Amino acid sequence: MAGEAAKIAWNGSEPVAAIADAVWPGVQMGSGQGGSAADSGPTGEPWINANGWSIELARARAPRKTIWLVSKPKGNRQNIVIENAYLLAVADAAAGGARWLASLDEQLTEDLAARKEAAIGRWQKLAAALRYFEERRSWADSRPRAVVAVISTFSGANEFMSTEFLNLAARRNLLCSPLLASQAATADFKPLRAIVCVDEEAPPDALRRKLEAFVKAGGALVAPAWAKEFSAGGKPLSSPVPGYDVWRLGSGRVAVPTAPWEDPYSVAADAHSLISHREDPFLLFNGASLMATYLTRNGGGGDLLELVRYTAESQGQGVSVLVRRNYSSVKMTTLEKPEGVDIRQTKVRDGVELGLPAFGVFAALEARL
Amino acid sequence: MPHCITRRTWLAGAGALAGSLALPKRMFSAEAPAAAVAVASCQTYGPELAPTLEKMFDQLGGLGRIVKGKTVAVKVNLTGLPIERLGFLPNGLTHWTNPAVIEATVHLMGKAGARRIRILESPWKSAEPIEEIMLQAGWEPRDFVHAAPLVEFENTNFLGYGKQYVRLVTPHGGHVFRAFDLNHSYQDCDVFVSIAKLKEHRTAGVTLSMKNCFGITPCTIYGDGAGEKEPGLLPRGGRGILHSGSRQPSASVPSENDPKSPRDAGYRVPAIVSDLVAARPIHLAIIDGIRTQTGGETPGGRSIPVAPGVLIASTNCVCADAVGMAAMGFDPMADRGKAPFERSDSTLRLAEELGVGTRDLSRIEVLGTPITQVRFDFRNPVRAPDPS
Repeated sequence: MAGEAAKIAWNGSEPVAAIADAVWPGVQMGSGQGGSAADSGPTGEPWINANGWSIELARARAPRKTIWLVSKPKGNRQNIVIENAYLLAVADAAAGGARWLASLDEQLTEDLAARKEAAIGRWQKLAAALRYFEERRSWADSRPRAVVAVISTFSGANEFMSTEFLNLAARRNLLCSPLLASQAATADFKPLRAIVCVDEEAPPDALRRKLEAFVKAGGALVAPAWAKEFSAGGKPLSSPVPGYDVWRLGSGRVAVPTAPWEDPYSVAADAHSLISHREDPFLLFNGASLMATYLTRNGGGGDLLELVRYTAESQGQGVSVLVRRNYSSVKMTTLEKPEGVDIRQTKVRDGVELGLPAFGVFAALEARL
Repeated sequence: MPHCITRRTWLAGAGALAGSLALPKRMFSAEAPAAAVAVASCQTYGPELAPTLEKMFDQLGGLGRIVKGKTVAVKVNLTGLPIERLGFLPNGLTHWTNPAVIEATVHLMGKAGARRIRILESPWKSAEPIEEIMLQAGWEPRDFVHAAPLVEFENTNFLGYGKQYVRLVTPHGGHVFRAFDLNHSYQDCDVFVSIAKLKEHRTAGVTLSMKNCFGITPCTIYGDGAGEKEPGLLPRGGRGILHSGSRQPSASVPSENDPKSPRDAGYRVPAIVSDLVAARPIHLAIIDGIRTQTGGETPGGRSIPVAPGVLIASTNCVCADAVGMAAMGFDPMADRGKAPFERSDSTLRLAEELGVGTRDLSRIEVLGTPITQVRFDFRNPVRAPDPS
């Protein structure tokens, strides 16, 4: 989204905004070994290309616009069976509340024109997936259950660190809501448990005072060196992460790196540990190839957990989720079984665990309170 | 990177290095010490667990004589990613040390007068705090904190809270490494405890109290992506280079004794593990075999959940592992070519050669439940029922 974002008229009157350089979703394959080897992320994990974070940011910039993703298939450089590639493109966009602007590869286009049976079958699966999400458009009005906000201008010198933070936080299932620095002073911090300020420059005085009040009321703040001003009157604490000064302020705490941030992967990992996984609204097991979106349904009454799989097929072990709320019922729908199945809840110490049946590219857990 | 080497450590290492030139390694086998091993049948992680452990420790002479007034480092087994499970089962029922075993042991150590207890692990590819790794698995680290007066955690996969790595020398020169550079917590302790899982291992045959210590090596030095000249700041991968020998650890630490030695993981991993437990002696080995899995150290392949219902403890790690192997239905005298060492050397034999302990059951006194009563055949296993 770098560069393109600056060209989009987020405040324009058009009802839609298009992210023109969305990534084609999937596990990124390297050029070695005939393009069959997965590229690694900073920890050696396969690198997943996903658009969830950029959709979130676009929705923060233009909350009333419908977001469309424009991305084109990249042939055999994606580790995704071709039948599922388009389903993934649809699910990747829809799980974030956006829409994918259908763009077919040349071969499929030609085969459809020639009315080849296999191509028509693929098109029908794609159409069914689009229909699945269209029938559930109300999901797009749901609110993220994130308890962490990331404040930045998300532009200029701050763009790289802030957008990479969002990208890498999403890979960790650290649910974050991007909050534009220009809107933060008037934003509602009540639902938040932690705030990460990514930009090196200090925010305006009004926002600093609001952040201080947030911490004193029990919130956690992770911020660059400028936040040392909050140490006055604070009580030093032992940092759970080397390389940070941490202190208690009121009922909350502030963490400041002892050296300027450089690597967004480390910043995301550090922030997650400083905030603590204790604040994670859910834990996902055997889901290394999955990305999750956890939402509260508009009007209350329940939550929605969407899971998108970015690899070709399930990895063998069953996927399970620990959620920290008790629900009266949980139903799982998938592209293969849109009618859904009821999911048994197993009570555990910190919530309930949900063992999920096998699914393909996408699963949605509709949970009622 | 400067290293912290005490005079005592240096003298011991220098003597050992000189000795290794003069003496064939196998000469130490006959002298390898024997220690009693406590074995107990224990079917659940419920209320029976702590009394069972306490009785076992009493059989070994009491925990107080080992830990009273001491700083105790406890290496637990949290191998793989915290989000990886065998089916829907919590990790503590399959491939991780069960949290109840850790909590009960910590509690008993506190009760026996341990001054400080430090829970250690080097989680895969991660520099995250151990507490955060536990939370990701659905554990509650406060349970351990509340189990004894002073409980701390440290991720030993990197420098951590230390100012420098510490160098521990392998007696008799070691099979692969004559010394290791490790996180400070492995030296800043009076007592070192390995709390392992009763498991098979795809590379090393079995993973018991000794193999658990493969994970004391920091990946900033011994891992994929380790710094070439100096240790990296953060772990960037697993311990692939220890498996494959594809490169040497960071140049600032002792390299392999013989870089032309076999690059076969089946030779290297058991040899390195035996070097590690010689360099960092284990004062108390505890093996959790109440519930575990077959088929390997992490979920996958032919792994199934099993419930051998056994706990093993000893002040000698080789003796503990020998009894552990016997409890798994294996012959502790087995070596390459015989189960479970179809593709590897025996860590037990290699550690025995370094004089760490004997694997000869005829020299080991078994206290408590006889092995025959707890033997569980890992190669012909009965699947454990799902926990209620």
